[in-house]
Amino acid sequence: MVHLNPERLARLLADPRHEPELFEHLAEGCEVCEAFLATASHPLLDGATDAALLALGARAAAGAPVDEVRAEKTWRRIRGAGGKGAPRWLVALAALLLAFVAVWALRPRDDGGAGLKGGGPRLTLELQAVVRSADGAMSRVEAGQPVAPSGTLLIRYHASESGSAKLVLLRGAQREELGSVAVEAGTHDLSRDGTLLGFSLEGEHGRLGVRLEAVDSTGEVTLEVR
Amino acid sequence: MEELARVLQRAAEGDEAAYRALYRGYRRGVVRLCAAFAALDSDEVEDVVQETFVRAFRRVGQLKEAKAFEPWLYAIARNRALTALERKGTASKAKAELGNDEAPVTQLIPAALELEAAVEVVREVIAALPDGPEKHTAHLFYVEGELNAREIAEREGVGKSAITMRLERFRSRVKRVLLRRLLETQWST
Repeated sequence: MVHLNPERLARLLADPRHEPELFEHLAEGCEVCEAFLATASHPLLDGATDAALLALGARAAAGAPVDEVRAEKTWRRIRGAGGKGAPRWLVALAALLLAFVAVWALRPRDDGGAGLKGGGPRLTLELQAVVRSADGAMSRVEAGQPVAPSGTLLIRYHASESGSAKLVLLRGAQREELGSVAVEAGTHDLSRDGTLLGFSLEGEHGRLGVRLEAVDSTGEVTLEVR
Repeated sequence: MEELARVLQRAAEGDEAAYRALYRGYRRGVVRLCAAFAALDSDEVEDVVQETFVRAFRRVGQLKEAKAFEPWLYAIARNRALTALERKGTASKAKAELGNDEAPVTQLIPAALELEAAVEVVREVIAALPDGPEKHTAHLFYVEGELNAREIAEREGVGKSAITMRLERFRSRVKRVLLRRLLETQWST
């Protein structure tokens, strides 16, 4: 019994008469060949398979509610990414980590002013924005500072404790939540799952804020894109 | 299809309204494709949607024919979804690469893989399946078309990965039959 493998499939697709036994074999269900096909990437066959599968329930799916807010958010990210193809929030720039250093003093922990101890540590956050221009130059951005609508915005944070925070993008009065990120005690570059997060400024205009919201504290940077 | 061809032409010329029309028209399909992968959460699905359309828009001008757009888009989406799963460590990196899904479909769609014929194959495969979990899951996901893999897992009281495996197994059956149909037309020419 012959089964599919990359070489045999390539020969079959070139001319099925090269593999007559396998050609006949494929007329019947075979777990070995189907397991192979599950991992074998063939754009035309894969695309046609998925188009047919999805067409089957398309009418029912068309009646399902659409999360318009989410769809619109993603559209803005696509539009912002332009033809560059880079996912807006997953720009890997790890090589640039050493290009800038920012140091912040620890924010004094708020103990209620009464000198009381206990109640567990509180997470406090401070953010610093740095823009990397198209030519690779890095420049620290102060609050409200105007920046050109190009380059990539990077965020460095200082956290007093480890924890998690909600990542929020603010465009004027508009608020866009971008999921949660883990923050570690100390000064770090903002990342998710080990990938440095960068924010493309292309297509942006006006007041733009990035905020990290933790239970105890909110850190925010704001800049003016123009 | 003529309307789609016009929209694709405008998109190839950089018309943002055309990009938006394609996004509005095909977003649901891409989201639905991702919904079969229970390990992807809703944020990750949106990342896949974004990457898929950005990549498609970059090369849309190289499409040979309008009816190739949808399968090509889904091929990109599947590849992006698998890459996202690899990043999470929930999918094997071992893949038999038999083509580059980032490259546009520059060949004509063979009759055996045209949508109507392929949908008929899906119906035949479902009808031929014995009653059991795989058939039930495939019916819920592909025929009823409303629940995602996570929701099916919750409803059926089984693990998410079990639902994804059933859907992938069913998809592989369909893919095998479509491959065979494609080869039949080649054999006879």
